[in-house]
Amino acid sequence: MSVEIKIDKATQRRLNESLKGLENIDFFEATVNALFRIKALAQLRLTEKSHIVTSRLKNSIYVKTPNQKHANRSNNNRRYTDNEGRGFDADLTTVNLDKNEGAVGTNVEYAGKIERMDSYIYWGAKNIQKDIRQYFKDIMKENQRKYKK
Amino acid sequence: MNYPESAILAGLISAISAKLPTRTIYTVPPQNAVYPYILINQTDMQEIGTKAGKFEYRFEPLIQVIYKDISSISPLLTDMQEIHEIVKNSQDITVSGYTVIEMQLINTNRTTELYDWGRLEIGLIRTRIDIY
Repeated sequence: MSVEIKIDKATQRRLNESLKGLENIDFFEATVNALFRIKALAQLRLTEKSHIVTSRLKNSIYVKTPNQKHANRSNNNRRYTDNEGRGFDADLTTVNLDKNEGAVGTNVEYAGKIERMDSYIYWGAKNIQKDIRQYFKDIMKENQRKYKK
Repeated sequence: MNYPESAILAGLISAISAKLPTRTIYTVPPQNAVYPYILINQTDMQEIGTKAGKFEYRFEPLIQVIYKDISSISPLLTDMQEIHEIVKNSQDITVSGYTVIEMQLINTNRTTELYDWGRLEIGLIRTRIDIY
């Protein structure tokens, strides 16, 4: 038994139009955008819950990707300072990543204690779960917009 | 009917007490907490239902087993195993006024914290509990 579906020319044209450029989409960018959203939420949470003393922990939260692909952004410097001017390195040296993997976190010694007492990183990750698909939809839309230009 | 977060906390405390009757369980540890103890925190809830007349609530509490200045981690691991058993068999937890849809282990870990006043060995168990 077989089924044959025929579509008219107008529908075929619209279908082709909407599929154009899909093969070139870099979905990893959506993953990295989600990591940056977690970073932003975590920083907001630290401020909201009054965990800011020197801003070191807040400024240390870092998004890491292989060769910093899509993560070289002005709000994600590897070198950062606290509000007393002391400089630190934010790199997550113990995190090894494969292609299309990314991480968000901090290397500050006391970060783990605050995380277990009053979560900010996990809280950030938890609170983007509901709209995670939106990041991928946005990338698709952006890609199609570029393609049509 | 209880507020869902209250019901979850009561259910978890009751289930852990049944498995570990000699452990003190806190939701906020006092300054003079007696070790070892169990801390249940991060119990904030999310509503995940369809909104069609019935709410479903999701909790991802962190259960911490905290020992101080121990020379062997065996008792810590034994306590963690007992809590894992509760997660494995979600029927061990009763949430008054609600039905437990599912209880899962999200992750488990151990950490050590060094202070001037001593060394803490901490077992961390993150669970997900959905109720309606």
